[in-house]
Amino acid sequence: MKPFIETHIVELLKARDERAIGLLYDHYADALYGVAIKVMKDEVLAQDVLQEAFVKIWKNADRYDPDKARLFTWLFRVVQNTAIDAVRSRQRKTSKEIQTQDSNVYHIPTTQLAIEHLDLKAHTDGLEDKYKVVIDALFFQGMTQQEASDELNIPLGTVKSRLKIGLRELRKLFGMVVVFLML
Amino acid sequence: MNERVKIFLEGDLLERYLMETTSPMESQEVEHYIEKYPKVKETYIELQENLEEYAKSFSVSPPSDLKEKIVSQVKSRPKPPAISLLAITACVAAILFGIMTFMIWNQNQELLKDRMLTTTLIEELNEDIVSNRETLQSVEEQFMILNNSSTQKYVLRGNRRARKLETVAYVNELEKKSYVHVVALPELPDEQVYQMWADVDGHMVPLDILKVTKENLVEIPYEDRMASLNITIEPKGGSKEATVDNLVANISF
Repeated sequence: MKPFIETHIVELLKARDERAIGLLYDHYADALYGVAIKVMKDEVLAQDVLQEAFVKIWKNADRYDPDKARLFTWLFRVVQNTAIDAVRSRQRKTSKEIQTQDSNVYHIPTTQLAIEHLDLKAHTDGLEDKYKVVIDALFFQGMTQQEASDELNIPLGTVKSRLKIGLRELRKLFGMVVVFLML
Repeated sequence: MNERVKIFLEGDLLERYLMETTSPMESQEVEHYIEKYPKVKETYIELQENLEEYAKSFSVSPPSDLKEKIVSQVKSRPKPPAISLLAITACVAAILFGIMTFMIWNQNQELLKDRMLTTTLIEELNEDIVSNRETLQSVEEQFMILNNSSTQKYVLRGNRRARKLETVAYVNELEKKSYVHVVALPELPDEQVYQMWADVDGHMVPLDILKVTKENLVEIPYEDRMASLNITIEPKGGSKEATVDNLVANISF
């Protein structure tokens, strides 16, 4: 069942009520900003992406179909696509620089993780790297499975199975967190 | 578990659907499975929850002033109307264009009809002109013949078998032309006709079958050395040999 706040935000969005933006920000900005940073690898650029993504969310609210995806899934996709577009746009402009001085283009983020998500972070760290790299490539770098296969130098079938197993493992890890919080 | 569902879940369509990397056809297939099979729906919800939890594990608090920036930026954007002005303008323009197209088409059809009518009228008028010219020429010729001093007029009247018969023949030996004006012909059975003959050197030469016509004069073949003109009753279609027993009128020159 969807949380009440999610249903409420969707209602406000559909009604073009501007209060929806404030609520969206309060409940999802941390996670979405984290996604933007993970893709952009730069806080300032990630802030621009988040800003642009929120404008898109507001502008395209009528396209969101709650029957097809959860609200966070849709928000994640908007932020992910906006960030990937921004990366590609920058890559086109500074392709040479990226090829030769990659470390000078992006800054390693210095912002600390939100405290309330530290437990989750600790548990996702428990996920084996071979699964994490595949999930990150597919969800945060916007690669297709074939691109991930080429980039990570692993067979396409392995990419598919690691994605499937990785997501299943995540479920187990988050299940442990829920049990831990309940205790 | 349903075998089809098992095979579907073992594949990677659902994961790719979550990442929005499915083709439109694949998306339709996934949506069908989600709608039809609770197990697939449950798995899809789980995948979304996993993604959400995984993404949240990377949560970072944005700078404090970012919320204000975003909210003010969104508020500064004009609310999109339910139906954009552009769409309304496009609809109105399309309707107007449609009406105008229909009117022009309709007008074009009317003009085409008028043109066809005018063409027909012109053709009819041309035909009338040709016909009138021919008639005029014929009348002029007849007038010249009748007023020619060398034209002889012969009136043939019917005998007792055809009392009402009256035909006038005009013969011009110089011009070698003959005309008849059938004034009146008594009615005959359908299988009989009146036929005119010329007596030439003792032989009856067939000239023409007589009919009452609107035209005053009808040209008939001219024969040299005509001694007389004769009219007989013959079978329908005329005869090659005159039936002398059926002679109803004659005149000698």
